[in-house]
Order: sequence, then C-alpha cells, then structure tokens
Amino acid sequence: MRFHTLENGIRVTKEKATPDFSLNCEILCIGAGASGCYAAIAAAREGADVIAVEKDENIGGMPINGQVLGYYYGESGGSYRMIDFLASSFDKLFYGGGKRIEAKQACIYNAMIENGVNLITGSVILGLYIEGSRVFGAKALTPHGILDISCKMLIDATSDGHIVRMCPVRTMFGRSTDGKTVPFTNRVDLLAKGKYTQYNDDDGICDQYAPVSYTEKIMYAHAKKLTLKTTDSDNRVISIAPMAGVREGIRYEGEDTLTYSDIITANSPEKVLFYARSDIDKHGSDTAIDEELYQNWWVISNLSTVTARIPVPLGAVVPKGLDGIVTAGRCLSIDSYASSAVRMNRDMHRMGECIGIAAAQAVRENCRFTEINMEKYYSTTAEYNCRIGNLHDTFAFDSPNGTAPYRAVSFDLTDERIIELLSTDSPGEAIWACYASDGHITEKLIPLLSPDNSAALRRHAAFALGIMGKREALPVLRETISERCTEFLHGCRRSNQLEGTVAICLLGRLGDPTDIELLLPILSAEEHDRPLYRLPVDPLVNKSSHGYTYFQFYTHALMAIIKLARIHSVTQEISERLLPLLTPEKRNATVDTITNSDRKSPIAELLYGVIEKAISELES
Amino acid sequence: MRSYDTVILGSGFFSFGYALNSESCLIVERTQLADPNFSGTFNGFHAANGESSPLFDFFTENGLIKGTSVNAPLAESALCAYTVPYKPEILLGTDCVSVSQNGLRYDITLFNSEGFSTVSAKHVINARPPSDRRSLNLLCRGVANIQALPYSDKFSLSVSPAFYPEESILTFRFNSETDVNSAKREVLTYLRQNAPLAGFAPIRAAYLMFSENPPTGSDRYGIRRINELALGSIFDAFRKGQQFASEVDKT
Repeated sequence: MRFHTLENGIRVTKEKATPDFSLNCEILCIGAGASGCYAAIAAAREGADVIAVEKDENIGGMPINGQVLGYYYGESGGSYRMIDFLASSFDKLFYGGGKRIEAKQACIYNAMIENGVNLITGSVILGLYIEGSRVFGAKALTPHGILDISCKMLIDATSDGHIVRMCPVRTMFGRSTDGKTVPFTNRVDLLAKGKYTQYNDDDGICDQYAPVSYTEKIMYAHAKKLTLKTTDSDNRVISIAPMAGVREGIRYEGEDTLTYSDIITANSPEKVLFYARSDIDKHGSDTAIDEELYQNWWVISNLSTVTARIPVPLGAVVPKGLDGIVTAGRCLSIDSYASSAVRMNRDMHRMGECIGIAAAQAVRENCRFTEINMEKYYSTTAEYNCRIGNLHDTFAFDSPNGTAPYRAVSFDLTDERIIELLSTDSPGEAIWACYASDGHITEKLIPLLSPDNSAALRRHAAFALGIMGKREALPVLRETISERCTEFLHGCRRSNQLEGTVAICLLGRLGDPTDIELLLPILSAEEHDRPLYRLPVDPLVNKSSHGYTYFQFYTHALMAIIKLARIHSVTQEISERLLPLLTPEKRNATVDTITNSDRKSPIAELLYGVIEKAISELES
Repeated sequence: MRSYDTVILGSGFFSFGYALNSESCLIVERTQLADPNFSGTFNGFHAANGESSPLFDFFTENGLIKGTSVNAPLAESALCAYTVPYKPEILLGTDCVSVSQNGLRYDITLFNSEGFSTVSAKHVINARPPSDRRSLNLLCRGVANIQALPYSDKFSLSVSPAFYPEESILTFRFNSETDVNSAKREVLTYLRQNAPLAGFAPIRAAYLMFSENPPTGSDRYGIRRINELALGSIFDAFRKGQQFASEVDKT
C-alpha cells in the first residue's frame, strides 16, 4: 500500500505495509466546517458509520471560527435551515441582538451526536493510504497520538483541499492570468451603539499553502484591527475571528469540471450534484488583468451582481482517476472565476449534505461515487430539499438581504429591446445579449453612434459593438477616453463600472498603434492632478475605496497599451517607453498617490500586482 | 534542515517575549492566533499596579488598559502590532508531530500546509496550553448574580469583572474533563433556561479553555514546560519570556 503525504511542499509517496488500522469506518470526513459538518451528519443519517476529523477544537468552520454567520446568496433549502431554526431559539439569550455563533455551533454539534457521528477534534491528517487508484484510509495526528483510520469513502471537506493535495491529481491555484487569488478577510465582531455588527474589509491576498508568508499576512491583519474604534462598552470590539476568512484555495482536475463559461451560458451537465446560486463574487478590483470572458461579463456588460443558478456536476467533486475520495466545500474541479460563485455558506451546507447522502449511497451500493443510482439520489435529496433548494431564475438581479427588488434577467432579447436598453443607464443586459448573439444586430447599432444621439446611447452602442469585436466602435471609444468619462454604468447594487474603464478595455482589443499615444498620458505622473480624480464616488453606485477611478483608468490603460503593442508587434518599442515609467521608485510613487502612502493596504497590493504583471509581459 | 537556538511550541506573550530577546528562535503555533491563551478566552487578566514596560506603555497608548484591567479581545491584536516590526520567526497553523533528541540538540518534526518538515534546536520549550481542559469563560453584559442561578452537578460558577464596568466574566468550571463543543452546548442549554433569573445577558462565549493547575518544569528529555497562566499578567509573561531568553543564552 502506498502512503501519500507532503514534505516541504512536495507530494511524496512511500511504500508501506498495510497498517494495523486503529479505527475503522465507512465514511471518513476530514473537516467539520461549513460543508463537512453537514456531510458527516447526512451520511450518518443515511446509516453510514462516520468519523469526522477536525483540525480546530471548535467545529463549524467559516461560519463559526471565521465568524461569517450571515448568508450571502446561496440557495436556500436543506437541513441547515432546521439547525438555524434551533439556533434562533437561543437568540434572546444574548446581548446585542442577532444570531450568536455559539448557538449555531451547539446545534450542529447536537445534530452530529444525535446522528452518531464519531467526532475527533484538534486533529490533522498526515497522509493517505492509497492502493492502486483507491483511497483506503488516512493517518491522523490526534491529541491521543497518531492513529491510522480505514474507510470506504473519504470526504475532503477541508475547503483548502489539504487532502487532495496529497493525492496523485493535478491541482491549480489562483487566477490563470497571474496565479493570484481573491483577497481574504479577518472578520471582527463589534458592538456599535450597543448592537451587534461586523467589520468585513479585505485584508489582502494570501497563500494559505505557504506557512511563512501566510503567518505574516495573518499577523499584519490582526495588528491592523487595533485601529478599530473601541471607546466604551456600547462601541467596542468583541472578538477577532480566530480563523482567517480565506475565500479561495486550490482547485483540481476532476472527473468533470464546472467552468465560468458554463455558468454564464447556463450550460447544464447530465448528472447534477446540486444547484448553487450566487453572483460571481470575486473580490479585488484589478479587473485589468482578468481573462477576457470575465471582463466581458463584469466590466463591459456591468453584470457583476447578476446571480446565476449554477448546476454543479456530480463529477466535479471526484478527483480524476481516483476512487474512494470526494471533496466537499469550495475545493472542487472548477475554474477560478466559477470558484468565486460556488463558496457561499448556504451552498456549502447544502453541498455537504448532498455529498454525505451520495457518499453513503455509494458505500451502500458498493460502487464508484459517479456511478450511484441517480434516481435514488434525486429522490433522497428531494426529501431534504438540499439538491435543488428553493428555485430561482437562471439569472436575476437580486440582493442578499432583500434591500433591492428581485428581477429576473434574460439575455434572449429582441433587437428593439436591445436598442431600448442601450439608451438607458443600465445597458448591461443588452450589451451581453449582443455578445451572445450571432452579430446580426451590428447594422442596427452603427447608426446609434451618430452625434445626433445622446452621449450615453452613443457610448453604450459603442460598447455593444466593441464587445462583438466591431471596429466601428473605435471613434466613440476614443472620444470617451479623451474626455476621461467618469460616468458609471448602472444596474448593479454595487461595483458598477466606469464607462471610461469600459472604453479603455475595449480600445486595448480593437485599437490601432496610434491609440497607444492616446493611452500613454493616463500613466503620466501629472495625470492624477486632474480634478476628475477628486470627484467623489456615490457609494450606492460603487462601494469602492479611495482612488478607485484613477486605479481603474491607470491599470486598464497600462494593460491596454501592452495588448495593443502585442497585437501590432511593437512590443519592443513600447517596452522601452513603458519600463522607465514602472521602476520601483515610480511604482511606489503611483501607489502612494492612490493609497495615501499605505503601501501594505489591499488596494496597494492589487496595484503592485498589476504593475508586476505588466512588467512581466513587457519583459517576456 | 533549519536550525535554531530555541524552538517554542505554543505562541503567546511568554513566547514572544522570549523570541524578541533571542538571537535565534522559532515559535510554532497550531492555531491561527498569535495569542490563543488570553485573547479568545475573555480571561479577566489584570495588569499589576505600578506596571511599567515598553509593552505595557504600548497597551496604554492604545487605550487597552483601564486601571488594572486589560482589554482582552484586542490583546492579541496589540501583541501582533507590537511585535511585527521586530519580525519574529513564527509559524501559525503548524503542528508539532514529534520531538526527538539528536546528540545535544533536538530534531522537531512539524506538519502544516506544506506537509512534514524538520527543524533542529538546542533548546525546546513547550508553552502549549495543557490538554486538561475544564473551564469556559463567558463575557456577559450586566453584573451576573450567580447566586440566583440553580445548582448544576456538572460545573461550578464564578464571576469576575471584565474590562468595561457594565460587563463581567462568567466562568464555568466543569467537574470532569470536557471539550469545547460539549461545554458550550451544556452552558448554553443551562443559560437558556436560567439566565433571566440572574440579571445578565451573554455577549460571547470563549473559544478556548484551560485548566487551573497545569504542569510546569522540565520533562526527562529536558524539554522545559511553561504555563503562561502561572506567570501572572500578560506583561509578566512577556517579561519572563525575555528574562528566560537571557538565561538560556548563557547556557
């Protein structure tokens, strides 16, 4: 039997005699967090013999130790609702109002005990036993010593794929363009005027697989919290989350994969594990270095807060070529943009429950996870309403706390409707509809560029033409950039995009070499002195930090210049002009301008990241 | 293999005091908190009267000291803010798998997100909290009148002042060893029935637990056991860490 583990960051495999397993079970669930708790409970409820191993002493994962108790989207449905209902019976016990995390933790723990889950806390998995392609068990470091545990099915519910990383399967980390992930948050619970609230700002990008730098990031994030005002007992910090709110970890190659393209084109697989629901909640405003498809949706079409109903394939939780192991939580076979949508607490609870049911069924049917009887699976999950949940439309504008009205979104629009929407301040659906079309509408859009029309209609028509790759958009795009248009597109409840940014982004795809001269002044030191960068941004339109407009114009202009240089084969010449503007001294000056000299702030980190990417492209 | 003069298992005020006064020290902590002992427990720890040290002054400047009371929830934050500029070597989220003697030194096998690694040290200090866990602290609003609460055969209760005058710390001492998940369930169930009798409302329960009389001294391998809770205040612990580093350096 082979023992798979990690040593100094590298996967290693050792031949070992079959161990004398101290503990045996049918389902070994590693991680008793947002997904793992429900997976263990559901599997035990279905009659499986379950052991759950949790690294922390407190179960519950992100909702408990990360203090992310509230819900941001996710589809409602499943057993977590009963847990929440039971936890709410403790609400009046606590000062300050709201649901208390200890109550939810106690109710989850109760459910685990009542269903017969054997829980081992304060323990980590040191490695896996695999024979052929099948996982047979794991070695655990527990407070009672090192134990070997055998199982028929192992669920990696660690969220960061700590178990999958030990397996012979390809893994990926971060955005395809630069390998970086979305920022993390260290939540803080506060009392403000005597009422319970939370502090939730981004704390920067981290690599949870590099302990030295991860430690540094966490300590810096904790140190920063000292600046929170804590003046009296009604306005004070209650606790800093003992677990960092990491939003993204590794992904892996599975038997099937969920992609961002699947989500935004509403592509449904044959076997659906469960349905998630969310917007593409990718934190980080460095959209200048995002993939083109993502820019089309988020920037050019301004659809960042459109929620999508997301069918997650059954095979997306099974590492390719392996048997006896599945993942539960945000580590699955998925691309990095889609991973920003499949990680919400409600969906993690439901995913865990679905996987627990499916895993128990696979053990009972003595078959591979992907070969379970789907009719039986659909029937069991329907009993708990965890797979489908409460149905919403495929796409919708929605708000997680009901502050904005729900509105279904369709991209199947008539030409007349498209033109009508383009003349409004919320043209996003129309722009995307053009992108998804066969291009026939081009002839109807070109006349809209006429100077006789309103400036907004001309711009939006140019955006629609530009996203389809039509160069007829260029004159209006150039005008928009020359004017440094700071109008925002509307429609989203936050993170609406600057029309100037959209124009720059499109010019980088379609422009001529001379357009580089139009963009270069945006990178000059004097550019930031222009009054337009002092204009306040309405937080109802875009909840951005200080310096947002300049950050967007600067970063998009930088990357647009590089793109144009590549397209028109003038990279060498442009490198010689650009690199002197990106020296460490100039870089720091730019960052200082935007961040008031806070070079360790999250926005500074993003800006340095974009500039590093630009330099790497110029030097390659 | 990286080598150090000292490896300290368990992070906290003592450990950081030691590290800041040592030429070569690595702190290994299994949680993601630089100080899991005090900060997550709402422990009503106090600064002594007449306290004076750079760390104490730092706490005072940041409004974390009131008389002899210390603002526990922000103590860890303050520890990080104070020590980060000194760049101490510390690994959070890291377990110690084993410690073995190798001549006059120790080989310490660690495990974290990078998997297994080994470091070498001349001295090893075990500053981890004891495994015998029996107490749970609850931060409460209002002065808890525990006399009004009914008897429980599972735990005894005591109350002590918290940082703010409107708040108090309620401590549940269990009669037998328990775990934090079971303890919270017991405590919350008990309080749901009985708290209105006692004139207080809980704000938050603690994450970690610790016993009253943890062991100290060295084991037979020469690994020194330090219990932060027996060292006095967090400032005492920090100072003693610094002193201990000076003494060890001389050996």
